[in-house]
Amino acid sequence: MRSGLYYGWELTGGGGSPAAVDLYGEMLEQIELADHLGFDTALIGESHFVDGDLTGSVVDLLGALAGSTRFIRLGSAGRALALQHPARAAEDFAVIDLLSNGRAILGVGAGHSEAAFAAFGVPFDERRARFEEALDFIAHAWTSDAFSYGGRFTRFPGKTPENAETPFAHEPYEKPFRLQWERAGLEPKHLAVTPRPVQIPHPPIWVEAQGEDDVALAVRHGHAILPAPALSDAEVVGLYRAYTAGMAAAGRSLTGVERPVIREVFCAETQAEAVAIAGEPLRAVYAQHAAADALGNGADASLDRLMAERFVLGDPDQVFERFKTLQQEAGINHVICRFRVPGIEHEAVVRSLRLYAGEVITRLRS
Amino acid sequence: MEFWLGLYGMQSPRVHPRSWAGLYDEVVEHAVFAEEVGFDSFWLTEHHFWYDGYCPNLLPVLAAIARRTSRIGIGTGCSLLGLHDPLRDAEDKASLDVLSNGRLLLGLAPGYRPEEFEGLDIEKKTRGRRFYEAVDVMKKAWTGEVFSHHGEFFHYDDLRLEPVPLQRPHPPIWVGANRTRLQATNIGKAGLGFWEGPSMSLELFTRNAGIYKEAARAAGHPESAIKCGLFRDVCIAETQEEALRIMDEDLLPMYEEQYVAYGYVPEATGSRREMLAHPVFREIVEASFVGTPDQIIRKIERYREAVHFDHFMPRIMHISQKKDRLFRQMELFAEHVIPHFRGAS
Repeated sequence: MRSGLYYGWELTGGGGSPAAVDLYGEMLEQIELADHLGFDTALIGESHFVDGDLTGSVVDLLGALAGSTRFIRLGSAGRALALQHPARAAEDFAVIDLLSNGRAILGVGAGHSEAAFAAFGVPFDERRARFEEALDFIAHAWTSDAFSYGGRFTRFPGKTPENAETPFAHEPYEKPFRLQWERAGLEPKHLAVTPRPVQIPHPPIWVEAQGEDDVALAVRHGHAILPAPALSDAEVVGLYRAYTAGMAAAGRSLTGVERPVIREVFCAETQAEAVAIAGEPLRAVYAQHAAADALGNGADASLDRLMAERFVLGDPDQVFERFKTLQQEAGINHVICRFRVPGIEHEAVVRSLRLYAGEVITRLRS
Repeated sequence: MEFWLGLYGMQSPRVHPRSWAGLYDEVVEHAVFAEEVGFDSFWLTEHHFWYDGYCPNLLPVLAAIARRTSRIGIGTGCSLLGLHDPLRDAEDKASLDVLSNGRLLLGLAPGYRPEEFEGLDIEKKTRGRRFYEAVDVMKKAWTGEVFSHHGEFFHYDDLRLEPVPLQRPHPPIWVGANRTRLQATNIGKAGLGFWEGPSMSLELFTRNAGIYKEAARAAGHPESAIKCGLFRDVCIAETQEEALRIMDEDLLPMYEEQYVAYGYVPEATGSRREMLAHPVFREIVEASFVGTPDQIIRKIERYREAVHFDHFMPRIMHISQKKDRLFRQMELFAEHVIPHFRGAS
């Protein structure tokens, strides 16, 4: 079982850009340390125009980390593909993959923030259809030298005889550009999304799963799922049961398929210490989720219940045992820990990371 | 006077194929070296859907450079706003300015290659208007206040961006100019920096810089906002003979690749001699700064006598370059040319 780190929208701003310099700096330092300590993966959740949220630009953060780390895999989480032209996501993650020499993970989602869709002028009620088409487009882009694509929302190129009501007259293939394509042996009526990523056939795509719709979509495209961070252990187990059944029904092999889960984790010498440091900051974050009814079923947010259902706060043995249980129940093979939420100081996060790396990573691997 | 080092696009062209991953590894290493020897900033260049893999997003690469350096400026030369969503650009550029502790420099341009507009399904002929509207949107977003915008292409209501750039009100903006009077006028009107391309003659640079400055003053922009930058291909060596050899082996093959590919020069007749006789090629050879450090200094001085500028970008990185030769040129430029102009204004 692999271990990773997760950072999400709880990278709270409000302190202006000088404070953001420190917040970004701490996050990058933590991930760079994790790279040295042997963590496998770091994911950063992307969201836009959520008040106080600082992670609108995950590609920048991943780029910085690609330059400063050597081994750790680097990915987005829940990137809402519908918010931009899908060629841009294919380009961006090819660049991350090249910068990191094959360590990129494209974590995507249908999106759930109406504010973000409104900001980017994309109809919220089309988000699933747009998301699914974008997934399809990106798979084409990453596995074709040159292609054309005529979807419901995406035409690539804009005007070709196949996909345009009015085919192009002389653009886009006028001199002096046409020869460029012919020399490369490409059909002028197609375009290629370049450069190509390092990983073959392409960087892994992890689909954020809130419910069974998302699971079904991931199965259709043959991608891994990444259960949404705020789900309970039981909900995660349920999603993986649906995923396993769906993959089997679709005749897709589960061999080598990653089964990640994001959990809130704090590792200390004793459980009492872990709870003393991380309990209240995490409870406060989940109180916000509960207020927004994001936990489902009107769940309350008492710390005891949150610890029983979601949080992994404990000494190394307890953390290990909890993940072993998830592995047995849901077939999890990759635990991605959020060690930091607002209110947990950088130094405390570093202690938790070090302890986890020293006492838990290797035991989970074997 | 500031010295910018450019321009890297991480291309693997037909005449000199490379591993893309290798190019991305090298660009970071080169930026680290550029900082060590004393360049003020380091610049990348963007295109989309090109067969050679021309870098389509500069910001993550600049972020990698920022994380491995501490002082050097990081620049987009140019970021093609005619192709971008200005809201996402505002987010990404602001975050990068924060990540880099306020070191971002923005070279912006509308973009011009038809494939790029076709690929992203944007009407190319709208690019000029899109460009200035996109600049406007980004500036509004970067105030950090709640903003709305209703223009020809973009519509936003009650948004507030966080984080905003660390540099206030925003990172310096330069616009990559083409040859036309109209563009020089528009850049001046908008009060943005005027940055001239590599192949324009001294006469054309003088004319367009004059048009630019006049338009900027007429629009009431302060003198501090009126700034010109010069971008030249540079081959520098201890002897002129060696500099010419570098031009022959590194610089000319780059243009050979581009101009033959663009169809300016028919491939069938593409011997070096025939190409050199072609007007586009002659222009680039004449505009390039090739020689010893003293000769380069004199060329820069000659241009500065005609047009006052405080920013010079030598493009030393061409095609098929060997690392030791490239680094030697960076060292020579930094040891001899930069100190000559330090303190000059």
